[in-house]
Amino acid sequence: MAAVDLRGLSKAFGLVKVLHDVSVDIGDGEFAVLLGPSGCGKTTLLRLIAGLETLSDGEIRIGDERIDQLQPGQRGIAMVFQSYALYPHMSVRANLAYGLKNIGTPANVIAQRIDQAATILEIEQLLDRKPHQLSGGQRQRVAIGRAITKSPKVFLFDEPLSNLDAALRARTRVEISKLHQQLGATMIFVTHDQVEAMTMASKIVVMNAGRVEQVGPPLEVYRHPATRFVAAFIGTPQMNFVPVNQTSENGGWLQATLKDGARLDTRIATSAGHASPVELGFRPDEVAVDPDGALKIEVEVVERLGDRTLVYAHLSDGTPIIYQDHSDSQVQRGDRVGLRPHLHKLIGFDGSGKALHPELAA
Amino acid sequence: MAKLDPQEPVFSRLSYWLVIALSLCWLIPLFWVLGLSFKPNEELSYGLGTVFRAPYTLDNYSDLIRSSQLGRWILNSVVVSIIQTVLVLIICSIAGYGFARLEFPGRRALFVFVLIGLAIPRQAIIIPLHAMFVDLDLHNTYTGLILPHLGTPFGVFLMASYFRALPRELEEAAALDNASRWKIFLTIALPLSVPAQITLAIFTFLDAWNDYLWPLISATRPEMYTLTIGLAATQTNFDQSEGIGYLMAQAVFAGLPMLILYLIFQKYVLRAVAGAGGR
Amino acid sequence: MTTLVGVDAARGRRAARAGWWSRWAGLAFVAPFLVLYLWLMIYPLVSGVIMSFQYKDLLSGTSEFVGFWNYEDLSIDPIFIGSIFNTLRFVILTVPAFVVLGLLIALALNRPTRGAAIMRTLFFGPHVLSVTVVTLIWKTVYLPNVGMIDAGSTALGLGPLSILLNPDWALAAVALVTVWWSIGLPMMLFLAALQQVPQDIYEAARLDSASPLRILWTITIPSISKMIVLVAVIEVVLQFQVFGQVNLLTGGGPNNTTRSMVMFIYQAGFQQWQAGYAAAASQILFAIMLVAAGLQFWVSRKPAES
Ligand SMILES: Nc1ncnc2c1ncn2[C@@H]1O[C@H](COP(=O)(O)OP(=O)(O)O)[C@@H](O)[C@H]1O
Ligand SMILES: [Mg+2]
Repeated sequence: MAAVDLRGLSKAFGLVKVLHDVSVDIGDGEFAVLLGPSGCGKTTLLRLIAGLETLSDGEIRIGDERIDQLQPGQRGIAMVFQSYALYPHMSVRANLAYGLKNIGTPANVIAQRIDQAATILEIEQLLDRKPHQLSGGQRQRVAIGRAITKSPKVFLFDEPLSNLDAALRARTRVEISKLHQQLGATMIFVTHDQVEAMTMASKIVVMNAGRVEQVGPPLEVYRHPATRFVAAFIGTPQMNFVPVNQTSENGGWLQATLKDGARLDTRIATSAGHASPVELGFRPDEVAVDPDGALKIEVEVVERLGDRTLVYAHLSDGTPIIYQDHSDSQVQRGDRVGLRPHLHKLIGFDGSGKALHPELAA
Repeated sequence: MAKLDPQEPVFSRLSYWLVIALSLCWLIPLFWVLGLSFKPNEELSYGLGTVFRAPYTLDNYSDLIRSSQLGRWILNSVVVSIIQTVLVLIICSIAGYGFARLEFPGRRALFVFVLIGLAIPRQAIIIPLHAMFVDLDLHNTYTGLILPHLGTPFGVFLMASYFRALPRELEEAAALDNASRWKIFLTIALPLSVPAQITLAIFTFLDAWNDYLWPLISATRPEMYTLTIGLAATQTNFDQSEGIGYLMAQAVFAGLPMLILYLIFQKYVLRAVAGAGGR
Repeated sequence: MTTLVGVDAARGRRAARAGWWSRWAGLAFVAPFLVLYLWLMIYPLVSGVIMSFQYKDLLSGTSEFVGFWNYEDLSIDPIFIGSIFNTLRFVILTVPAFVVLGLLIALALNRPTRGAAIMRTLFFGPHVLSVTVVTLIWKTVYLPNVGMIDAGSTALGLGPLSILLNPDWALAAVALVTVWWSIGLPMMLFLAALQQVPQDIYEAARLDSASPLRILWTITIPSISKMIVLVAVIEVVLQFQVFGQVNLLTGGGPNNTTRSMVMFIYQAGFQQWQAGYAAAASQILFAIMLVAAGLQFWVSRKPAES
C-alpha cells in the first residue's frame, strides 16, 4: 500500500515560515494535484516528501511506514523535476539505469526495466543519445522514464509541463493520465495551472500562502469552493464577486441588499447560524440576461469567441462583472444590461473568506 | 578574414596596425634565439650579427643531447609538474565540493579562513618552509619539490565557485537515485566540472613547470634540478660558458616544447586565463 | 507493483547513522586540504613571524630570541632600504605599462578576425616560458658589445650601451623583459572584460554620433573600470615579488640598483644563512603587499560609495 499521509507539516527557512501545519491524506493509487499560485509552497511541500528538505515539524507516512527520517533514496519515491534534471554527461540509457545501478540491481533486470519504460514512453530510438540532443518534449519523457524504471511507490512531479509549448502540454497531460492508469501508482503532481489540475486530478489540494485551503475532487472544488480564495483561483474566467451592504431574511433564506439598493435573493439558509456574507459570488455562466434582473451593468468589452460570447462589464459602483452570453448575442459596448444570477448558484462569503453555500436545488 | 571593415573608423584601424607592428617586437627575440642556436660557437664570438649568414650547424643540439643533464632535468620537471597537477586536482576538487555543497559545522568560518590564504605570498613563508623541510629531510626529493604547492587555496576557491554554479537539481536527482554523497561527487559533480579542472590543470602545470624560487632553494643537487633551475645554473657565468650558440640551443630545447604545448592547447589556456579573471 | 526499496528493520538505524555521517561528511571532504593548508601555509606563516624575532644562523644552527633586533637592523641596512626602493621603482615602471599597454593591445585585438586571434596567441606566448628561458633569450639581446641592442647602437654610431651594466638603465631593462614576458595576462583579462560590455551601448553611442575616442573614454573605459583596478592590483602584487629576472639578468647589480626585496630575502636566507633576518624582511614584504592590495581595493571601492 502506498497511501501518502502528511500530518501537520511545517517548514521554515530560517525565520521565514513557508508551510503552516499542512495535513493531507492521499489514497493509494490516487492522482493528487497540488494547486496554488506561484510561491505558495508547493515545491517545498514536494521536496519535503522527497526528503530534499528537512521538516520543521510534522510527519510523513507512506503506507504504514514513517519516512520523514529516511534518506531521499530510501523513501521509495521518484521525482520528475521542473528542469528535468537529466544528467547531461550520460546517455539516456545511462540516465535511466543510474538509480538501479546504485542499489545493485542485476544488469539483465536493469536492461529489462529500461526496455519496458522505453516502450511505454516510446523513447526506444533515443536511448543512446545525450540529453542535449533531445527536444524539450523528449527530455520530459526521459525524465518520466527515469522515474518509471525505479518502480517507485509514489511519483512526484514538479510542474513538469511548464517548459512545453501549449500543444505538447495538452498531449502530455493526456499521456500522464494514461500512464497513471497503466501503472496504478500514487502520483503527486504540482502545478499552478488549474486546467492541468481539473483535467488530471482525482484529488486537488488547493494551497495558498503555505496553507491548505481545500482538498477534494476537481468538481467539488469547482462547485463547492471552501473559501473565497479557492472560488477565485479556480475557473476561468474568474468568479464574480459582488459586495453586500446589508442582509435580511426572506422566507428562511438570506436576502442581500447591494450598495445600489438592489436586492438579491439566495438559497443560503439563515438558520445555519453562520456569519452573514459580505460578498456574493457567481460564475460567469451561472447567470441569465434579464431586463428585470437585480444586477444593472454597463458593458465595456465584448469578446466573441465563436461558440460563446464573453462580456466584460461593471456595476454602477464600479464592481467588475464578467458574464457569458450565447454566440449570437447582440450586446455592444455601452449597453446597459440586467442580469439575474441563478438562485441556486449564488455563494456567500463571510468576512474571513469562508464560503456559505446554497441548499441544493430540489 | 583579416580584411578590415571599410566603415571602421581610422582610429581603430590605426591602433590595429600599431599592434601588428608591436607584435614584431614580441616575435623578433624568439627568432633571434632560434637563429643563434644554429650557429657555431666560435663564429658567434666575433659578434652575434653573424647569425644572418651561413654557416649554420646542428652541433649545438648534438652537444646538448650528448653532454648535458638536460634530459634528467626535463624528466624531473615532467615528474614534478604532472604529479603536482594531479594531486592539486584531486585535493582541490574534493575540498572545493565540500565547501560548495556539503553542510557541516563551521563551514563558513573555515572557508573564510582558507580564503585568507590567497593573500599569503609564497615569498613570505619560504624561510620557515625551508627550515621545516630541512628537519623532515625533504630537500632534494620530488616530495620536497611538490609538497609546498599542495597547500595553496587557489584551486579550492576555483573549484568551489564552479561547483556552486552547477544546478543543484542534478545532485538532488542523484540523491533520489540512491547515490551516496561520495558517489554524487564522483559520478555527477566531478564529470560536470571538467572545464574547471582544465583551467586548474593549466594553471597548476604552468606554475609547477616555471617555478623558480622554491626549486632553487630546495633542489641543490644537479641531478634533482628542474629544467628551470638547471638552465639557471648554466647561465650564471654567461660570458665564460660553453658558448652562446650552445646556450641558445638549450633555450630552444627547453622553451619549444612548452610553446608547442601552448599552441596545441591555446584555446583552453586563453579561456582559462580569461575565465579566471572573471571571478 | 514491485518495490525495489523494501522495508527492513535495519533501515531506521542506517538512516540514523547516515544523518550523523552526513553532518560530518563535509568535514571529511575538506580535511585533506585543511591539513595541508595548516601544515604548509599557516604553520610556516606563524613560525616565520616567530623566526623574525630570533637570531637564527642556519649554518651554525644557533637560534635565540632577540626581540625587534632584526627589524631594527633592517631599518638601518642600506641594502635592504635600497631593495625596497628598487622594488617600488620596478612596480612603478611595470604596472602602468601592464595596464596601459595591455589595455591598448586588448582594444586593438578585440575583434573576431583570425589575425586578431593569431596576435592574441602571440602576445600571450612568452607567458608559458619559464623565467630562465626568458632571461636566456634577453641576455643575448642585452649582451654588451655583441648583443642585439649594442650591435644596433654601434651601427648607429652611439657605441655600445651595455644596458645591464648601466645603473641608470638596468632596472628599466629588466622591466622591459618583464613586460615582454607577461603582457599576455593583462591583455587576456582586459579582453575578457571587453567581451562583457553589451554591444548595444556602442551602437547607441554611435547613433548619438560620438567620436571613437569619446566612445573609448566615456563608454569603454568606465564599463571595464573594475577590471582595470583588478589588473592593477594583480600586477602590483605580482611585481612586488620580482625575483627570477633580476637574479638571472643582473644579480642585483650594477651597484645594487636592481636588487629586489625577494632577492634580498633569498640572499640573506640562503647565501648568508641568516634565517631570522630574512624572516623579518619577509614580514615587511608581506605587510607592504597587504597595504598595497588594501589600498587598491579601497581606491576601487570609493566611487561606488559616493
Ligand atoms: N531554500 C529556500 N530558502 C529560503 N526560502 C525559500 C527556499 N525555498 C523556497 N523558499 C521560499 O518559500 C516559498 C515557497 O516556495 P516554493 O515552494 O518554491 O513555491 P512554489 O513552488 O509554490 O512556487 C517562497 O516564498 C520561496 O521564496
Ligand atoms: Mg515551484
